[in-house]
Amino acid sequence: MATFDPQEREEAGRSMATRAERLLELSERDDQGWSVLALKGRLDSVTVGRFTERCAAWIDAGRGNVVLDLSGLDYVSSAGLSSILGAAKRAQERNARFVVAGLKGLVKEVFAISGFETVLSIFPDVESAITAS
Amino acid sequence: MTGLAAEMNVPAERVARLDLAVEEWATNVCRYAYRGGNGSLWVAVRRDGPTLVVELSDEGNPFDPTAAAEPDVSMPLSERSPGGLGLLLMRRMVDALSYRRDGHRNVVTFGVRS
Repeated sequence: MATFDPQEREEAGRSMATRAERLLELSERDDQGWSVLALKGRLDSVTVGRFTERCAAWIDAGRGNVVLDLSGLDYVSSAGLSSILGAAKRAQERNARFVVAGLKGLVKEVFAISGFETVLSIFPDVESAITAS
Repeated sequence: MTGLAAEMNVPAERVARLDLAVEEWATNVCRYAYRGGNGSLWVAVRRDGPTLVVELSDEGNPFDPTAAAEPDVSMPLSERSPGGLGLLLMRRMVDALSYRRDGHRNVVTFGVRS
């Protein structure tokens, strides 16, 4: 942003935050003892900050194993992949399982190109993730 | 970009791929091109026959994304880092990618067929 006015910057920051909320919906629910974190929308450089913060909080709260439900995710960039990797490592440090479910379309392709399918446990959907693990 | 894509009947999925390529390059420019200082990124969108072309120009340090090495995607979780992944994705998302140095500008051109 090419602006040096503090108020303008603050407003721009606020509108970016609102925009990030519209672009990525986050929700958490308990399912058979697993913490299911569902993402809906886009995980990119704009929305990744929110996701990293919320995900870290959920993992640190120590609610046990985590399933990242990406069935509602339409778009993920390298910034998004990085944040997911970070979350997986964080869970690992707390001895919690971290699995990913619901990859489809472009998101599935991005995971494949990045080789993430070999470094993360991935399942077609939340139910099979919980049943198998 | 989405406006021209709609006019050209480029499928939504292909527009998303182009969107991703642009994001990865723009992120790269923001992080590295101006060494932390302020700078500009120009975006030009045009049609070239059946191809949707996006041209991105910056006045930052010379950097040729077509020449950079690809990351090793077979490394295990603990050794992975995000560097290079963005460029890899960028390359795979578009049908055509080219680079030229134009005076003091980097010019990266993406092409996506409709």
